[in-house]
Amino acid sequence: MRGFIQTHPFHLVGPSPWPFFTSFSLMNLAFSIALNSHNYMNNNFFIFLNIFIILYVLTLWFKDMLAESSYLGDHTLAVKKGITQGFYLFVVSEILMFASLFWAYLHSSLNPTMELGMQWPPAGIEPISADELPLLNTIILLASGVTVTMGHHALINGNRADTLNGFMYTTMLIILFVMLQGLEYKYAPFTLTDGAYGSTFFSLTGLHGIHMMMLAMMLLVCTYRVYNYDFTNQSHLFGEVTMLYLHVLDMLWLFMYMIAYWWGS
Amino acid sequence: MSYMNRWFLSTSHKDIATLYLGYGFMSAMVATGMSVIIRLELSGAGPQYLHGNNQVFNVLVTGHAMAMMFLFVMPVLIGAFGKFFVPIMMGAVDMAFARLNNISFWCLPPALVCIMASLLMENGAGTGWTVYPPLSSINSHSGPSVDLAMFALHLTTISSLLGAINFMVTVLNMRTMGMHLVHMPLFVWAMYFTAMLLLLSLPVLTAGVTLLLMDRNFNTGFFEVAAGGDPVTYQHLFWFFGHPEVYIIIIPGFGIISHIVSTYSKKPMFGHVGMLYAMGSIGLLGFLVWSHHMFVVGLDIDSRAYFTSATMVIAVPTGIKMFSWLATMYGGEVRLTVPMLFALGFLFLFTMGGLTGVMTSNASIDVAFHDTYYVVGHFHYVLSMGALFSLMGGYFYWSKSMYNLSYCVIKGRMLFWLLFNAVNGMFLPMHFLGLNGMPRRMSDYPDSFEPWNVMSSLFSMMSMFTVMLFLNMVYEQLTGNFQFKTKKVNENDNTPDFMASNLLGLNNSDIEFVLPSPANYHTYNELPMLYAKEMSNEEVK
Amino acid sequence: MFRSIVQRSFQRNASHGHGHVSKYLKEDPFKNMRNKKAGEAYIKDMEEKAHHSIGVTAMWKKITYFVAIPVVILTAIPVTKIELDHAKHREHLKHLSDEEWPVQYDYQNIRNKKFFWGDGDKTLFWNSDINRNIEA
Repeated sequence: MRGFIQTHPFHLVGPSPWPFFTSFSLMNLAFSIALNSHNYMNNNFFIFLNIFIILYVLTLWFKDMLAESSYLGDHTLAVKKGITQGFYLFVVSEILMFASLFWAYLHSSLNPTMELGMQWPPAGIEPISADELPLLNTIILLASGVTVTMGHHALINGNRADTLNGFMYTTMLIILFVMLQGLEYKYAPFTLTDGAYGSTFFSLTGLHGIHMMMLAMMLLVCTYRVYNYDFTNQSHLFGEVTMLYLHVLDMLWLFMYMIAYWWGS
Repeated sequence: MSYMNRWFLSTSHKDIATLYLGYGFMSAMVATGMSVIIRLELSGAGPQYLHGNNQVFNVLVTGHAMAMMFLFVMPVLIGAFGKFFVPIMMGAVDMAFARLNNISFWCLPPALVCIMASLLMENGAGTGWTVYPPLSSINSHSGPSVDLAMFALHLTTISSLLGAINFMVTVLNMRTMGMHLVHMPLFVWAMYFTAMLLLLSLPVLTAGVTLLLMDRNFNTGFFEVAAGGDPVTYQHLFWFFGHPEVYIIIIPGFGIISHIVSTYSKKPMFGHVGMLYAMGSIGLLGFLVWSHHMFVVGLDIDSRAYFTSATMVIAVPTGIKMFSWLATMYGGEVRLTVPMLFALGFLFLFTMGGLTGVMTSNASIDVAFHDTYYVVGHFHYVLSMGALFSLMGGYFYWSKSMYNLSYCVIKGRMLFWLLFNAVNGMFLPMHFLGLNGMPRRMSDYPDSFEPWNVMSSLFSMMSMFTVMLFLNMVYEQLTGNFQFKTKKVNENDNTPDFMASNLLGLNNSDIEFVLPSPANYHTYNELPMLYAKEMSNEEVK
Repeated sequence: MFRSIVQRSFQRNASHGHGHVSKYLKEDPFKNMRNKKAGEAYIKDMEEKAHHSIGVTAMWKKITYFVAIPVVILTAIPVTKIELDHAKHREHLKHLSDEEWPVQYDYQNIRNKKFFWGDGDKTLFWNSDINRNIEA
């Protein structure tokens, strides 16, 4: 029950320390990277420490949000609508970021310079062929779209077993994807420093990979929340935005597969 | 509420806006200081104050630009005024995401620290705000300065991006009952379009500068010609952000000017819907014209023709806005209050800046203008007179409503005329210097350029005194200890029914002036609603 | 209090100036909020969705177990085989001397600045079996 009567459907959030902590640990991260990379301090430990602090503070922040939604009932229909809109806008900005990396990729690849032998992939580069590991990765992502759809519909009709299965399969598939992508990186015959080809290839797939790790974390939380009876068949906003994120990242992967792996090899 | 909770852990849009305001004016002092050093160095031919250390000159140029844009104008116009008035004007209880609102602010002090560290460490970042490689790559700037400047941009990007999402969701989701989109006041519309531009352009900047960071520290080859990359990629990515950025800075000003002009002409805004569509099309066109900053990199003739014509098209919606403001004043009872003076100054000087913009938009003429002081003069007319005048006008227009602070009218008028003369005297000569071919970002010049430079530097001193007068006014506002006792009242108080004689028989039209000032911690306990009594068309007429 | 204020604000912002009245002026601002019908429609919609999703779940369950997972496994088998072949090739590469190593072009292995980890020469995913930076 709410402790007070309010005559509007919106959520008035109380003072919170997490934004303040997050922003200053971001500053620490910026400084530790800048100073380490120029040998002002020769200890990369501080970079990892600051990343850990940021993740830790964000965990506490999200913990507050989960409590507000599941236990305090602050997330009314109006609030949920706002969060959904906000997430859509966030996804739009993410797409723009991917678009700029595609831009960089196509700028180099559509008109390969003299230094690259005027061909793409450049002379001397042995590209990763599209019909091997990347194909398996593509199939895995398409399959994750299927399993998550099963989970979603099962969630809507209150079918706990299938919901749990759906989310667990999806989580496992995404983790599998990240691991296979790690293998691909480990055995890639070219590196980040191999001119425009290596740079654009690894920056595109790397950005996607980081997002996949984020998605895996979101799916883990989703699975736990299904297991913990946090989601109801009407109210599972976090599940919905996670699914949206999954589909958008799948779509971006398909573009990446077509352009960077298939056409680009 | 404890001090910590209120100012550091805040989730109230009004307190966060207040933090933005104070922060923005502090950064303004830093940026102004740098501009004065720049002008002092240019006050004569040959080395003047920097002992011929031209890197320091370029570092100051970079710091001035970044601090003015990312740490002064954007925080004050978008952060302070936007976050204060968008929820109030739409009848919303607060911003949609209160904690994100707080982190939007708290990413900015770290950005200031990063920029200052970037200026002070080793040789500084003498790259200009555009940070073009190869000048900014590791071979030319080996220290951590450029990296720190990039991280400052990352931090301001996080801040603005979260702020943009917040604004858009607030506008879309939290309008009060009966408030249709077209009913929103023009300032809210301005903030909405600004947020849209931020959302779509900032990720591209982030990608661009991150690739640059990787080129510098991870040996990648995006912009490295020897590695098969191309520095022009960076310019494309940067200007795809950079051009919308200039509209991000000016569109909130458009919103403020609409309110001021309408209030002190005692007339409703002429062409409300036309104005908002004009802002929208300026925003849209802003994404289609970025290469006009790159006319001299070797674009083919068709691209130059396209970017020239697309850029000139922007003059149409801008003209719609300008003439709508003039039409609002036409036949109105214009009161030359301090905010209105700044608004009129904006109309005149922004038009000047717009006209020089049409000149530079032409690819064939821009070959001569590119990288000269003509460009510097042009963008200072639109920023230092467009954005700054609307910002000052907004400050005096709203300081009563935000904090119940009055200002001294005599000093306010003095401030306007001093600032008007200072900026014109400072930036008009730059056009002549540019037409004669004086390159920008150079700390020295041939003797023939000296007279106009001396004039510009002298007026820069005048602008310094103007800033001091402004600080004195703020001091008077905060202490209530006015020098001219008789004229201390706020002009809004002077004419409580300043809308009384207009066509509609209205008194006070804007909800921000009707609320208690300062407004309550939570502005509305109960949402206001937009409701019209039965009224015939005749009555309205 | 707010009613009259916002009404005035409405006239300024929504009347489009010069007496042209917005078509929303006379609309009931609460038309979607204070009727029972809307609430009932919402509940009905929810129930229909839940009911509809039974069949959909069954379909996607079939797709999951009979299409998605088998296809992943079926793709994994040949891919594993190919990868094992690659592993043999890597074994061969490992034993090549620097002279036998394929030609390194100028654009490859850019080292403008030492990496700030390790010995400063290896990228994050460096695999010394197949990645070599041969100093000319």
